[in-house]
Amino acid sequence: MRILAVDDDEMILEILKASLMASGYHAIDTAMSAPEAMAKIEASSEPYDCLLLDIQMPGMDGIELCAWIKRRRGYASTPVIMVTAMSERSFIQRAFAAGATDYVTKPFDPLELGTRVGLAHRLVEEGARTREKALEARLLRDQMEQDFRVAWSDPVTVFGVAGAIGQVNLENYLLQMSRSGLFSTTVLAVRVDGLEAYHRALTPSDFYFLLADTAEALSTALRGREFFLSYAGSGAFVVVIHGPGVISTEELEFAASGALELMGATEGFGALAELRYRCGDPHRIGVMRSGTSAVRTMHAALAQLDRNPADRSGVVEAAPRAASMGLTGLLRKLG
Amino acid sequence: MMQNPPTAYFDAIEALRPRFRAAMSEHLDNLEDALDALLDGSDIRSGLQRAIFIAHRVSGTAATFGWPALGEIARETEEALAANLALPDFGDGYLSRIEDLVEALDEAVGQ
Repeated sequence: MRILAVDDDEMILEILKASLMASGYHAIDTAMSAPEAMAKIEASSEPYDCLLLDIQMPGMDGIELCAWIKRRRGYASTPVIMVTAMSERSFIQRAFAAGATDYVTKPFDPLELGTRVGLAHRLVEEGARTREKALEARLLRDQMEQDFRVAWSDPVTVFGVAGAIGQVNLENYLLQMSRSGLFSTTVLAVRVDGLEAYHRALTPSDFYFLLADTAEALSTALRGREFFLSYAGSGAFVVVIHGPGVISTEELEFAASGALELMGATEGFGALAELRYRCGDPHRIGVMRSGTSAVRTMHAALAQLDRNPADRSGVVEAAPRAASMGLTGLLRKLG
Repeated sequence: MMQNPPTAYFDAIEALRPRFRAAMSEHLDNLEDALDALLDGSDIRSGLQRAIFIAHRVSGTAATFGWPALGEIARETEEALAANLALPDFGDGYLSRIEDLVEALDEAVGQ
């Protein structure tokens, strides 16, 4: 720890040095006036770790010097111990107001001085540790941001949302489905209009959290159905819904947009754009289709979303489950 | 072999003792000069300021070198003279204060 001791009395400086060296501090620099101290501080390539300042000095006193030091770059948190022959409250108050962290009175007990400087030393070490931790946290955050960074067109796996799986997982799921399992399955592409503005403006992690909210709202709107959804990139989700029943895309758009608004998902990000869900045409996968064709249907649904957003039926009637037809019926149909 | 901290400190103070004596002797000479100026009555403000400065120096170091009573007298003298300096007519009693400090200093230097 580098210490600068400032006192206009050479004898005091010698006593300070003896006391500090006896306590194990050997990097001690001294100055006999405020201007000399200022020159040493300015000339030093690294800031001093601790300063001991006499209050009463001719010209600029120790309190003014303390205030000057605290204004300097790199000294805001440096411990400054005032050394004073007087314990008058007004001096002490002025010193603390100027940024002093502690004070000792002359004549000082060498052990007490060592203790005070030791406390200052710990303060310096803790400050360094805190700065180190802050740097580590910043690097980690930057790394996280890099890890989260995805191109606008890239698919993203959203975690922690009911029914949400990765795009590859969804394709594999469709590929693995048996023909009978694909029966009464509907594939629907859903665009979240306005999302691109947030992708451009937000940090990758903030965009991910917003994306998770949009997935959550869509999942909420699909509640009660058997479904999977996946973010395919470019603001579009693919939704695969199983089972009979009617799906109204208008209702889905309305319910998902409402759920997202209730979440207040875009609050705090500024009013960049209104987020609205827009469904493409629902594609029902019939009994004759293979998993491969189901995947092709999924991509077609996404492509169609861009091509012809207004021209869609709005309602699709899901066919009854394959189980209701039975294997015999299915084979009969195939044969 | 490394000395323990108090021993190292007191060894360092002992090494400084001749310089302390020399400094006290110089303070004694300067204080007597200040006292003469004050007795002369030509520039009381300047004389008081010089005496305050010397008392401040003595109070800061005397106890460290084994003269706590001298340090205490110096501290009291510094405070009393500062109060005199703040008065429009400088009050009274400052001469006896300075004489007490001269006497205490003389004793320390003579040891």
